[in-house]
Amino acid sequence: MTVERIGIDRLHELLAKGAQLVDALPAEEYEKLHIAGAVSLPIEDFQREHVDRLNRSNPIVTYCADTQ
Amino acid sequence: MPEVYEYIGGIAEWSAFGLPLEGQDSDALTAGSLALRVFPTCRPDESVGDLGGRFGEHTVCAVVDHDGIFLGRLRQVDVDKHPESLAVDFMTVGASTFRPDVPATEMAEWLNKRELDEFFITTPDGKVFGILYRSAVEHILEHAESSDGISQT
Repeated sequence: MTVERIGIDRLHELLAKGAQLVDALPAEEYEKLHIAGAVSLPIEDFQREHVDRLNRSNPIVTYCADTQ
Repeated sequence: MPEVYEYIGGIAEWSAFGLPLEGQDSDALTAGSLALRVFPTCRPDESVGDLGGRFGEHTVCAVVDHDGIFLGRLRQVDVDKHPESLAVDFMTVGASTFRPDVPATEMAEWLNKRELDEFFITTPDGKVFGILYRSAVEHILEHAESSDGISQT
């Protein structure tokens, strides 16, 4: 599986098509602040079954604090 | 197999655009949350004399290009004095701006040091997000300090 790195314009396009936002930051950071509508799947304790929470028919967009 | 993407700007860039956030800290007072979103704008090649009615209660106008990119600020006092000129002749080029995610307390300190009464809020792509007046920042911070349930960062 390939993961395409995208900027904010492409993100807006995908969100308009129903993409799901996944916050990969630690859970305590998600509790403090996250992008509106994002779900929390912390990369530090990521497990395969967590993906079951997502709708695989829609695009999935992950993000961290800043990876630019 | 689902399509998977990584948004490289992350929450840092999203916040800097003043876009919606959720969570315990999402109601923090910031430049974006305090900014007035309706403000006067003009192009640099517009005649200053045509702008008078556009200011309303504002004391400055954002000079922007055709894409809405911030170029500078134009004061109403200059408009009144030089109605026959172009905006580019009297605008302050490269005026300092804040991003929407800058904490209100940080803005207040900066404003006091610079003795500015107002400034524009711009997003990372250079577009104008809003305008903020020192008096409004100070008033809201004073109110927030005396109220429970309003967080400052």
